[in-house]
Amino acid sequence: MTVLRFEWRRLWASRLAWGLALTLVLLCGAVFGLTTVRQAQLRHTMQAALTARQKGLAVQTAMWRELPPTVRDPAMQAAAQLQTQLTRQQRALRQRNNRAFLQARIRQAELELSPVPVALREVVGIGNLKAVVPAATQTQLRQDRACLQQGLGIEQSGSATRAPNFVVDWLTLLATPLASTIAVLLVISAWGFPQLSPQHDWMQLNLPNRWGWPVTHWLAVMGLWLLLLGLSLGVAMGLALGLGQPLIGGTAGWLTHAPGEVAPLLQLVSELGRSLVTFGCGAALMMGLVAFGAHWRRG
Amino acid sequence: MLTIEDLSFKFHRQSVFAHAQMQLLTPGVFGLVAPNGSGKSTLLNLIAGLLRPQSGTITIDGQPNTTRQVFKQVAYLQDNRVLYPYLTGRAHLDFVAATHHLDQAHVAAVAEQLKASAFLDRRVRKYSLGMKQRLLMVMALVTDAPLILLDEPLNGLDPTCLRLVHEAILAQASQGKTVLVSSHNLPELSRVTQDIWFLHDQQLQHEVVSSEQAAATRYAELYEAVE
Repeated sequence: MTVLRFEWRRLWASRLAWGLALTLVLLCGAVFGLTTVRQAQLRHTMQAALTARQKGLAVQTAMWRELPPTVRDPAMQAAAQLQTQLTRQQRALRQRNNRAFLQARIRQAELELSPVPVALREVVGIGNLKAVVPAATQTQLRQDRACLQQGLGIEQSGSATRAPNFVVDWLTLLATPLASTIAVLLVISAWGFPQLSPQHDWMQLNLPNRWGWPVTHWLAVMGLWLLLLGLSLGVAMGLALGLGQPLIGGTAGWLTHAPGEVAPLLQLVSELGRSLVTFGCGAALMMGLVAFGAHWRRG
Repeated sequence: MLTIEDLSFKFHRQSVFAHAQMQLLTPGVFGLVAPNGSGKSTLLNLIAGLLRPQSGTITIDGQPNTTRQVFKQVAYLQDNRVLYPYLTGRAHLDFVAATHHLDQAHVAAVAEQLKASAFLDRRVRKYSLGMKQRLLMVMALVTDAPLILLDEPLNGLDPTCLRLVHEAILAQASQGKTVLVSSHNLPELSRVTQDIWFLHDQQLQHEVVSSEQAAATRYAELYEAVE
């Protein structure tokens, strides 16, 4: 405990913790800003995709006039219904009406999966009509129905600014090997270099066990990372709660989730654990390398 | 208290000690003299177990100089780079006191003896060289270890501080402790001891010099003649 207390005292006095905390807060703010931009871009892309789909369908229906009426009429009818659902989706997107959007998308999927368009696709050939993969459509259909039933809003990972989604995305980013490596390099280089200096000798002389300091130092580094994770979690949560917007609308819960997805709360715990493990292993490896370097320097 | 037998040590393939011997059997103050870069600090680091010799044994109070034995038996004043500039002197002392289970009143008394109490709450980066030396001295003396290694403790001290440090060193010897003081400042070293270990030709030679003049003469014979 004595060594741990001293390490913490050293940490606060060196102002490293403040520097890292400030860096993380600024980084979190920057990522939130970027996510807001990406969310707007995603909405724009969705609009553009719906428009493109409508135009494609109009071109195709113009070509179907030459087909025999037995194929053409039901196909034209289905295409008209598809156009209606695409228009409804566009309107719902503009009005940020999640419920209406989901209803229209579900209806669109049902139409796409119905026998007529499939038969039609065989006639006109794949590529002219949307390259629908029935399995994927069915998965999305299941998810959309569940979302509609629970009132959940549509969100896309990496472009979501509401609390459960953004916080999980932020932690996922921090748990990546690259982010962990940068964090380890920052913490160890700023706080671990005493191992390469006479200060290391002084610490060793004042401890009865030669492993006492390295182990405690690692524990203190882990404690620092846990604190920083907690702080950045709080900042991400604050930003998302204060400024976060849904992609379209609907609710976003910590425990509610669509079929095939994991509840955000569980994802949060999982990413937190992953970050600690990645950082802990990286810190241990880095400290080992620094210790080896110190040993080598002594000849 | 301290026995060194057949000590050989090479640093980056350059021999610093070759089968050197040293024995400090009785309490007292002993000088360790050599020009800069000759291996004084290396010897103290070897005794403190911070460096491992290629061959030979170092025993403290009859036991090998393991980490635990050094922790219990040795106080070592290193150069002032061991201090954390962003911490206060008191933070350093608190750590030493906590790891050695020392009484705060005892720590305060030693700090007062070396007139260090006044600046203990300032950050080390604001200390003068003399202040740092006095803080290091306090950190070494508070542990009450029977073997005290002092690496250039007289550097950067003004006459008043020199007197305080002299008194402190002599007080330790009078309490039955063994103090090994490395220095190249012969006039100042002569004020605290006549027992000098000269580090010469990778060996340790013990001599008793009768005066400051005799020490200077011997120093010149050993080192300046070679140059």
